[in-house]
Amino acid sequence: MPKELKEIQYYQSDFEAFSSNGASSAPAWMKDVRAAGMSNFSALGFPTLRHEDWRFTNIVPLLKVPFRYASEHYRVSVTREKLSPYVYSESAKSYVAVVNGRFSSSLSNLSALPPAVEIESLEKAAAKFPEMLKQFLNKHVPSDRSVFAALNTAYLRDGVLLRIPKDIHVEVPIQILMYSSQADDGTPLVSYPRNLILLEEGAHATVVETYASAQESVSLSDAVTEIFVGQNAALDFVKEQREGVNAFHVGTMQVMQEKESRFTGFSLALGSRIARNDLNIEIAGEHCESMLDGLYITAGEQLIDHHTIIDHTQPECSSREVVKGIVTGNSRAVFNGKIFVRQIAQKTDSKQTNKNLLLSDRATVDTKPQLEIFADDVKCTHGATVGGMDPMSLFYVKSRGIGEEAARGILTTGFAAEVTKYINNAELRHYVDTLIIAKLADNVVMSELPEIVHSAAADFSQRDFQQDESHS
Amino acid sequence: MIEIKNLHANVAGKEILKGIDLSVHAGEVHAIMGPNGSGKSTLAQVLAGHPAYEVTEGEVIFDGKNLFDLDPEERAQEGLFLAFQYPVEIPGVSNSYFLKAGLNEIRKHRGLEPLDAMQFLKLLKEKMKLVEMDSSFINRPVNEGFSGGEKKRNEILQMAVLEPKLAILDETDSGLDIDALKIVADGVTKLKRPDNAAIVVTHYQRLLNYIVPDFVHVLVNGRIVKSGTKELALELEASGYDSVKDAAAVA
Amino acid sequence: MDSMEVLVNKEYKYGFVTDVATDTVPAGLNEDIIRLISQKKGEPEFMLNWRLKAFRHWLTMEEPHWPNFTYPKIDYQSISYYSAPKKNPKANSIEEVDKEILETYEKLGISLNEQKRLSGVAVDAVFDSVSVATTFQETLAKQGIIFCSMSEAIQKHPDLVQKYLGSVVPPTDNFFAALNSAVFTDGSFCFIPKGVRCPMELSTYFRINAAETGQFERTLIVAEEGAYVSYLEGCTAPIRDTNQLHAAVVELVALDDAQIKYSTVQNWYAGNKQGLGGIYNFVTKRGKCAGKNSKISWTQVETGSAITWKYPSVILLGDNSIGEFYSVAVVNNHQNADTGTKMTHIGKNTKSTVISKGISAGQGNNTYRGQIKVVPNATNARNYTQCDSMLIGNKCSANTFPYIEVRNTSSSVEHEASTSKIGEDQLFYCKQRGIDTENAISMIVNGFAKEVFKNLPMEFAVEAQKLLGISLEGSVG
Repeated sequence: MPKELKEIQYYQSDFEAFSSNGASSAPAWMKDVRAAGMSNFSALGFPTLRHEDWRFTNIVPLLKVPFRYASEHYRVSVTREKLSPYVYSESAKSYVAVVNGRFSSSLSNLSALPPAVEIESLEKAAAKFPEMLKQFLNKHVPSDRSVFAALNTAYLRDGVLLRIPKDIHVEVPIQILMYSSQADDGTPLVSYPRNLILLEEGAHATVVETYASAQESVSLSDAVTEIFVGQNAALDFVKEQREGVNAFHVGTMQVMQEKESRFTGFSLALGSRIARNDLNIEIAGEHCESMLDGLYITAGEQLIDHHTIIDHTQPECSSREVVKGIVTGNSRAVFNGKIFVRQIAQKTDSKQTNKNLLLSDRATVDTKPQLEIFADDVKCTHGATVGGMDPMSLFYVKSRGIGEEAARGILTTGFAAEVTKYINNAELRHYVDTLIIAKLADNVVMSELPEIVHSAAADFSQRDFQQDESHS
Repeated sequence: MIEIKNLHANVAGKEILKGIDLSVHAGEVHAIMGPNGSGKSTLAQVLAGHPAYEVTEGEVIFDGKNLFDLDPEERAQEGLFLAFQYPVEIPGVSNSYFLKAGLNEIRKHRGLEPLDAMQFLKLLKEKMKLVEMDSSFINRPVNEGFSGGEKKRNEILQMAVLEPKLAILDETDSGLDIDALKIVADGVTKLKRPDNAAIVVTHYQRLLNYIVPDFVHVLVNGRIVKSGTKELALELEASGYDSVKDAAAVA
Repeated sequence: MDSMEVLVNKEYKYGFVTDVATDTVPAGLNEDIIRLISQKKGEPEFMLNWRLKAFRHWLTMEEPHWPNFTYPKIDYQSISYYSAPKKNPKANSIEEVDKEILETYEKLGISLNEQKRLSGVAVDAVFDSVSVATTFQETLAKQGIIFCSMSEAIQKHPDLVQKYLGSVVPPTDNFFAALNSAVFTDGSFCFIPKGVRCPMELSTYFRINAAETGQFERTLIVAEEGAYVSYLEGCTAPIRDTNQLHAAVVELVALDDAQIKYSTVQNWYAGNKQGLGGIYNFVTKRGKCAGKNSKISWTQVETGSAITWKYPSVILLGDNSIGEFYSVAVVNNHQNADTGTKMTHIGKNTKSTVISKGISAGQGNNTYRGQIKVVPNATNARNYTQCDSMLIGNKCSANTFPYIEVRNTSSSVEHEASTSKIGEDQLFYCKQRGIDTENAISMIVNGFAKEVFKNLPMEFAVEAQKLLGISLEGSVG
């Protein structure tokens, strides 16, 4: 059993202040949820490297920081200007901001959203729609297994409720901007945002969940996002994680899919000193499609860890998981992907791939793709690769007159484009590509970086080409 | 154009080329034939600067410059082009991007302005007609998911766009059916000019029905054992490589 | 799958008991027992100290447990750690070996009579805790090859034993390795001197006979510069209702340009259909490619044991060294197999290949667990891993847990895994061509496992294929 670390007491004592002060007005049912979370947290304790799920991710640097709960007691000045670099242009009139775990309507802009869409502070929603929240909130969060999910549950208070009612198709992408910051006086702060995204039957939406922090700010974001994709509903979801280098991120995304639904998730992980992304999908209905793709780029002293679970509990569903990594500097990347196929989940078709481009001998990649299969009539494959730049590809590019640095740039961005191509929405894909290029340009020494570079984002599109042809 | 003198080369410590001498002038097409394992492809790869091969002796002067002083990309910029026997797949990089990057590097080296997207598009379209390539290929990742024939055609398209002084075609005919072979050969023939040259490496004579060489050289065991005109290729087809092997043994 | 419910369940044909008087030490584990074992074997002082040191360390260790799986707690005090046939524990010639024991091996298909043997295989026969006979010793000795029981090696070649024993698997390595180091009773020792290519296959046949005993054998193979050896290992045990513990340690050392090929057909008693009885097979096997251009290759066919935990591994220390692991593991009824390998790339240009084929039937649980590690200085390391699972029926499971850690940019590590089943249509197709179900399954499964079988020496491959068919009988109809 993993040893308990003493830091646990620190978080326990802060909890007493939390429940007796600002958060004391919560309804009784929510207080029960918190208490259960706290008791799970106390039972689990913080993991050491001996804990199988934390084998390669040492959280001691995180525990060393004396984070305080980001209560009203701490003054944190955040302005629209500070947030603006993180606002996705297509969502400029359809985003909400959550600052240190608290929903901020003054920093949000929802003018372009159709009125049918329900989006507001989770704290307010708890008072307004207690029945709905009781039905959905915290129903599938793995608080009994995951210490940070348990801790988030203990501090459950605010975040975002997003509900897309039945058969509503929302065209404009909705952004949930999660911003964390230390206090103005420099106190490191921890926040526990909780988002609940509900797509009712037949609803369609595109959601971008952005985690950002003030530059140089020392903060910890312990986030949980619960997503329900109703029957025949479809969600395109991007988790964009790019906090600053002094920030820490531990996030759990818990997706529950009902029958005939589609979930297409993409995890773009670029930020934080240490980031742990638990991304879990439970396929709870037949004929679902689940896609969970992602790209991490680690540099400097960063550690980015992805732990994913795709759990096939029903027959005739398909899942695809392609997660790639570009690993540089002194950094470390960890990938652990589990695919479960339960006994009744016959005719499951599941593919999982993790590919890593290791660009520094001081960097480390640990990857562990896993299959656990209990049904016999299934098609499951997984694969993982770790390697440096392929010398043959490099030679081929150079033999066409392109210099070493540029050739490396082309191959690296091509490596990234191979997975961003799975983002359905072209503008969103372009946005993600731009962030990738920026991260590579900042951290990977390359004199020239091409623009990314997949079929649709080449210098000119297929359409242009055909148009031109028809003129001639 | 290119002057190869006493070229020796190793791969993984094993000597493959054992003294090659060959001169190619502007306007000429040379065919290099030989049995499997004779060193034909090694010669092509060494000229392009493949890192796995080590040149142990000899020199190659290309357009007045010592070829072995140049990196692979500098050789390409000087106008040397290798059509790969096994073109490499580059996932995530579109054909058009790749080709434009190469072309503009080469133009820069020649003191020309880079082409903008529209100019490049026009050029590309023109060249694609030459190899009868479908427009959908330009935005697909380089060679990825291409059939063998499509890959070879893509190589010829690249050659057409980059307009090299010396093109080396390494077994461009292997894996092609007769229609694809004709298209490829046709493309090569149309690109022939008095100021450029080509070295065609092939195992079979059939490609030479379409790309007519001025000279034919037979490579056996790392050496050119016989040189002649296009009739030599026909002769080889009739009598097989054994006759020249025997000749080589005697010599 | 209604049509898949026929087939008779053939009994484990190696499940008989040989009636021999034994010299068995009382159950229990303490320093006195270890002294007694060491004394019975007439060991030099250094061995006793080595054992005691291992034992003292073992006392500080915790028994490992893998997640998702439990088994009744092992009571280490109820096991007898030494059991040997009473007469002539080690005969000087085959003629002196107990008739019953000779017959036992005949019955198992292992003839200890050199004349009767097919040419080219030398056998060390280990019966419970001791080696009872080793064949072809003299023939081998002419080339300087030492092939004898571990007990004999400790007596006659203490320098070599002291130099290499524990050099690959230190006594402190893990719980079961520490236990083995404290109490091991016998095993085989092979030493192939510089430049010698061993002219025959060396093999050890392990037989657990006595009840309430554990088997803790220790095997050490050393191939000096340029030497080559192919070694085979087979194992069986009688049918008993209680579980028996087998905790062996195998160490291989390959110096410059040496090559060791180690093949196992593991067919310990697997327990009955309800999961009663069977061997707990907790084994540490590891090879060290100590020299440049050396090569160690593990091939295993695992069909027996109630539980198997076994990860034959290679430490690729020498530049250009090669490690290979080929495995077929079959589980049926309530069997549990957790097996795989560790390839640790340390030298430059090292290469490893891992091919694992898992077949699950009945309520069996089959897990591949492997680790590929490339350290920062291991430039140009290459690994390719392929793990395929086949499920037969809907109550079994197949898991794949590869751990990959790479810290070198010029290296390439590739892992692929897939899961498939025997399709009704495949079976139907075979049947329509006149092949009965049993043969059809055997054919399909053998096809699935072919890549591994082809690495086994011929005789073994034939036996392994038969074994595979037998293990799966009753699993499908």
